[in-house]
Order: sequence, then structure tokens, then C-alpha cells
Amino acid sequence: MKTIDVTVPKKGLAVEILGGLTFVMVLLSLWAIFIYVPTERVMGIVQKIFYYHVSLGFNTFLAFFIVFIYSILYLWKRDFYYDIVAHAAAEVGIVLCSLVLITGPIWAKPIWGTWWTWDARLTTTLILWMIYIAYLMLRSAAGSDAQKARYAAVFGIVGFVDVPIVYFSIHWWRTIHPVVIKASGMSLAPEMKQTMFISLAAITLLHIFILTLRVKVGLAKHTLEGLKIKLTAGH
Amino acid sequence: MENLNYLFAAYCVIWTVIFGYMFVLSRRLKSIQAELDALKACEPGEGKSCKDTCACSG
Repeated sequence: MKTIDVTVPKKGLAVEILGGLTFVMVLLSLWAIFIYVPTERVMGIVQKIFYYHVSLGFNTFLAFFIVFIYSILYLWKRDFYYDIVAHAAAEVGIVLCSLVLITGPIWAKPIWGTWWTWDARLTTTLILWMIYIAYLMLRSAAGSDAQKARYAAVFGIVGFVDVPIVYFSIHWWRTIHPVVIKASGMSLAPEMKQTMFISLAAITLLHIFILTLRVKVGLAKHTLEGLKIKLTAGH
Repeated sequence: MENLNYLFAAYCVIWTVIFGYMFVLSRRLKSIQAELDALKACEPGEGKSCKDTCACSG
């Protein structure tokens, strides 16, 4: 079993550039949403939730895809670094998925007249959230570090099956959820499309920034545990 | 400007959760880093006794 002996990385120039770029993009996205893009004719001002809601949804998929990839890498290489990244991505993914599940009903209430309906997209997203909550619960319940990482990796791979189901649910089943991306492309006005891409870039950068921070916490914790074992053995 | 309260609520929730999570992560990192620094001082060759730092006492 390979382990890593890492010193906690200091705040580097790359992280500072990423932080600055994220800040600028977030400000730009807020300007585009609240000032630049025109208000949608049918839904009115509440439609502006859409830009962050969709961006958060895309990043939820991205986070769980990272869990999937790093779980495969862990099982293949048996290096704890991959497990730390997978764990971090799962936690960040849950935060993003929670925001999707909160902003969706806030948008739905004035448009559909209800906070929640057992629609295919909503239900599969809730199941996705529950799967990764179970992933974190499994991590806290399993035994040794190696056992924990192995079980979590298998769960992280199997759990990813729900991601394509969530994405295609609006095509496979009858749904009231809006379908933005169709086979013919994005059905949006040019200003809306531009705002959508700016918001997507901003939330993706923010996601990467938070994930970097979370991985740093994971690495620091791993180093601390290793040092504690080393000191205990030395005494 | 109908339904402005829903829009306001959605963006408030998003930024509260994101900043809250980042704040929690920063605090977690700071506390682990402090414990790590204290333990590193206990390592052989660092010239300090474990009794000098409370982090090593457990």
C-alpha cells in the first residue's frame, strides 16, 4: 500500500491567480445577470435564477465525475492522494448539489405554483444527492484508512451511474422541467447564451478554487495523522 | 418586478452557503496547520521536548 508523505502546500502563485480570476468572473457574471441580460418575457425577473442554477448543476456533475475518475485511479494505483481528491470532490459536489436542490424550488414556486413535484429530473437529482451523502457516511463508518478508501472508491464509481440518468431524465420521461440543451443546440437568445456561458465559467472557476482549498485540508489532515502515528511509534 | 423576493432569496442562499463553506474550510485548515506545526516541533532533532507543546500531550 502506497502512502504519501506530503508537506502541506503553501499558497502558491497559481492559487492566487485562480482566486483573482474567479473574483473577476463572479463580478462579471453578476453584472451580466442583473444588468446586461434582458428580463425573460414569460417568467419575468425570477428567470434570472436560471444562470446560476444551471451552472451549479453542471458543476455538480463535474464534481461527481472527478470522484469517479479519482476513485478509479485510487483502486488502480493505491495512492492515498487520489482518495483525498475523490473525498474532497464528493464533499464539494454535495454542497453544489444542495444549492441546485434549493434554487430549483425557489424558481419553481412562482412558475409552477409549487415548491416541489416528483418530476423525473427533480427526483433523480435528489437521489444523486442522497447517494453522495451515503458516500460520506460510508467514509465515516468504515474501519481503517485503506478499507475506508477502498469502499469509498467502489461506491464513488457505482454512484456515478446516476449522473447520466439525471441528465437524460428530461429526455427519457415526461417532465415539466425546462429542456435548455436540445439536439439542435441551446434554445436561448444571444444575450442569454452569453450570460449563461459567463456564469458557467464563473461557477466552474469558483468550484476549482473551493476544491483546491478542500484538497489542501485533506492533505494537511493526512500529514497530521501520519505525523501522529510516527510520533506515537517513536515514544 | 414581480417575484423579486424569490430572485433575492435564491442568490442570498447561494452566496451564504458558498462563503459559509469557504469559511469553514479556512478554519479547518488553520486549526490542522497549527496542530501540525506544534507536532513538528516534537519530532526528533527539533530540539524541543514533547512536554513543551500541549498538542503532543494527547
